[in-house]
Amino acid sequence: MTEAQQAVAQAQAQVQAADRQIAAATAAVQTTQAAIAALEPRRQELQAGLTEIERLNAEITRDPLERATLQQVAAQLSARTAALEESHLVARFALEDAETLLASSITRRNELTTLLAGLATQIPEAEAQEAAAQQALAAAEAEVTALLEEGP
Amino acid sequence: MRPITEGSDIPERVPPAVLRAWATKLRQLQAAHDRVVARAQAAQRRAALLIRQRAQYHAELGQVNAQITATQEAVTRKKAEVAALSAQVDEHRAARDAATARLLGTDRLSGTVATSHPLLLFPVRVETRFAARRIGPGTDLLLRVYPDDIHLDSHEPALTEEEELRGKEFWAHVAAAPAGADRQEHIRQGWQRLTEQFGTTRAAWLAHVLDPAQPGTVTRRDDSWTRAPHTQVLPDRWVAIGYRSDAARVTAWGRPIPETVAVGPDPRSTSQLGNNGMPPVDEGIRWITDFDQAESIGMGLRIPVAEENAQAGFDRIVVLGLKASWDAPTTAGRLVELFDAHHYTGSLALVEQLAPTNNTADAPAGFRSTSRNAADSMSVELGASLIRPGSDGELLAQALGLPASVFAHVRGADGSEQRRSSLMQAALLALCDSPLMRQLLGATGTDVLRDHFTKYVRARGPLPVLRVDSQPYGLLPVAALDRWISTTDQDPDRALATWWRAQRLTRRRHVPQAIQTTVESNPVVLLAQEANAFRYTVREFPEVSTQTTACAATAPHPGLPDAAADSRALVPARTGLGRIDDPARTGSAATARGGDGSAHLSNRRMGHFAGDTTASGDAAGGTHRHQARRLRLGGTGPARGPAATGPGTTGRCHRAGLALGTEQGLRPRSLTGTCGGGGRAEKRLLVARGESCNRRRALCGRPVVRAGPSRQMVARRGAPRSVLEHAARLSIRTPSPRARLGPLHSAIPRPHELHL
Repeated sequence: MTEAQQAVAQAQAQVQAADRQIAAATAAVQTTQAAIAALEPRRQELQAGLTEIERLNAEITRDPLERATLQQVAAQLSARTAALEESHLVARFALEDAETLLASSITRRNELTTLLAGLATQIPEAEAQEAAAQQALAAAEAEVTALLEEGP
Repeated sequence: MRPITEGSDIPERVPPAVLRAWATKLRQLQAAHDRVVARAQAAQRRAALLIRQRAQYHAELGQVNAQITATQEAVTRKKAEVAALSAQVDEHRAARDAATARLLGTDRLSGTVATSHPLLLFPVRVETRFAARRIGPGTDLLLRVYPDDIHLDSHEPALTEEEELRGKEFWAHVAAAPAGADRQEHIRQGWQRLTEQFGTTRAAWLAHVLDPAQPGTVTRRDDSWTRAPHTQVLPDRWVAIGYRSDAARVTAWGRPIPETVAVGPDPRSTSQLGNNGMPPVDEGIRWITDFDQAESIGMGLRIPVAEENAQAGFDRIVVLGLKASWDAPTTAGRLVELFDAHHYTGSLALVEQLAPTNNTADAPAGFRSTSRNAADSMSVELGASLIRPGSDGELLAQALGLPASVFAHVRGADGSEQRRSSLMQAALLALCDSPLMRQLLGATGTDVLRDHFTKYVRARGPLPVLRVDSQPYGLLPVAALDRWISTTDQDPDRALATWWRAQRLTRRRHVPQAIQTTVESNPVVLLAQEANAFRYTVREFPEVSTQTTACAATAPHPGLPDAAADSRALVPARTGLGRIDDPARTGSAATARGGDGSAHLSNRRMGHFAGDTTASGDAAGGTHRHQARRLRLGGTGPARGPAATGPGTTGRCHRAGLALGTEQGLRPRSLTGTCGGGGRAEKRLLVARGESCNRRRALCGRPVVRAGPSRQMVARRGAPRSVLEHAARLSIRTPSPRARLGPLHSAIPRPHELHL
């Protein structure tokens, strides 16, 4: 009886474990499906781009050419190229600006590092001078006090 | 201390001397104490200051480090962005160029125009007008294209019976000439009889075709005029591109153009005189007066334009086309026929620089409509070949890919202008000094720079100026510097090209400011005014006795900052950085190298170009007629765009640039745009074109010459005072025409880019 009960309990535990695995797998599948669905527009976009490229290539290499169609293709390409060239120029100028800023920042960092290194030696020296001056001041005050107490 | 009521603090018994000594000692100690206090305070302040500085520096260092981190990330991001965009731009450019090459070529794939093909672009005349659309609302841009003088062929190769008879008589007279001193005079007399009867050019043709030393087949014609003037060097079709704000707004392609297009009446036409008594317009030249007919043969384009473009108009319209259906030998043959036709009908010559275009009190014009004396023409037409090694004629023939014999008896072919210019460059280089020169030396090295400067840099252009009748044509090799590539890694010009590209990009960012800060005039216009040095300045240097700054592109102006000298020569004075005879060059690398005589149109296509037309104003605006006459020699890709000649639309001979010059009271400058190769000779000779306009008016049946300043005003000698003043202020005494190709014009669309 005990063995049977143990077997049942073990079987129930296995079923529960299997249920958990199923739930986890289901969740994973759902996540994957969601990810796939999210990528679908991008896939369609890329597919459309490839199709468009193939169409352009086909028109450019068609022999003999279809002049009216190729004129439209050339116009599309020209407009896209002009826009890309403009974007490229803007990006290039922005890159140059960033590089210039980076160079100046690095230069300033080096300057600051040099200055701090100088301060690292100057400050102890100044503090020592300050301490020495305080000692000299105490000595001078003591000397004056002694003279006053001593009298003429 | 005791209270004073308790008695005197100082015992009365203390002697005064001791008391004084004590007081003195006390004062000394007080003074010493004060000094010590001051030193302590100073030390304290200094320590506090240094500590504050350290805190500030630490704080700033933290900010700078954070900025560096952020900027490094930005740089990395931008680099990736630029790299990605570069790849995309390259891909799209390649695709665009491929599509353009197909459209410019024939319908078959084998007829594609390659970017390695050097092109010879002839100028054409463009007329535009906005018109209401025939069907439905909207506006069309009507555009007409007229061939230029250099296109025309009215030559009659066949001989009449009389011509053959007299020609043979002449050669018989030559054969009978006695030996000795009188021989030349004997021949001259025979030549004079022939020229008096047929004119110099026709006599030259008769002598040429009937020369017993070069026997050939003589064809016969039954009348003195048997065929209409025509052109056979038009492209396969035209493409028109309208620009506004440097952006292509509209592109239109015309219909196929016939192989032969008549440009004058056909003598065999049976058409009757019109009611107005004007000559009949036969079917061949109906396209000149009938737009629909012109459209049907590809010489007219009806371009639908958007309402926005109709309202705003266009800043510039570029029309071009290529004869891609010819192979290289056919093209060379047609060019030879064309030059022969000009040689033996009107006049073909190479013009010296600075040749005046008009007769003035100081000097005669460089062109004579009347025949020269027999001895003079005989020496050219019947003498030995004028072609010499390194002569201008040989250089021109090499550049055009033609046999030198085509210019063997063309006046001016024996000139040595280019060779002399090279020698002058070599002499000047050692004397020129400027920050620009030093930068170039650093970028390329002395030997490379000297070689380049001597061979290719020409203030007046690297090729001689050609004259057809009274019309000069400057030949300017052009290439797109941004797209120039070298076929070898060892090409010394690579460093120079790289340097210029970087400089152009840098300066391009500052162009708007440069234009805005110049209140006198647009520097682009200013730079276009003069291609030749008109003043020389001697500078004294402590270490050098004198320095002559005659070098247009590099001479700094005394008293002006060096930057002025730099800004004056932002681009190489040579437009071609490569050789066009290199068939292995790919992309847009087909460029011209004229100085060493190696330029060669080995695989030539013939192209046509016209630009600088402004189509603006209202829909009912009048016709704008412009013409910038220039031959463009360059690669398929790199042909650079025309100069922005501005809104000048009036003037003689309806040349845009000329009109602008006359409006401003300046020297005509229609050829000073991106060409500039011709220099003053072209510009002056250009003015002497009244008869051509009249002839065209007769052909067109309507006036084509607009009111403008007198010819004398246009052709006055010397640089106008206003120009001199501007130039002196800006230290642009001798602006190189190639400067027009520089960053100041980098934003101007180029024909090869064909923003379709």
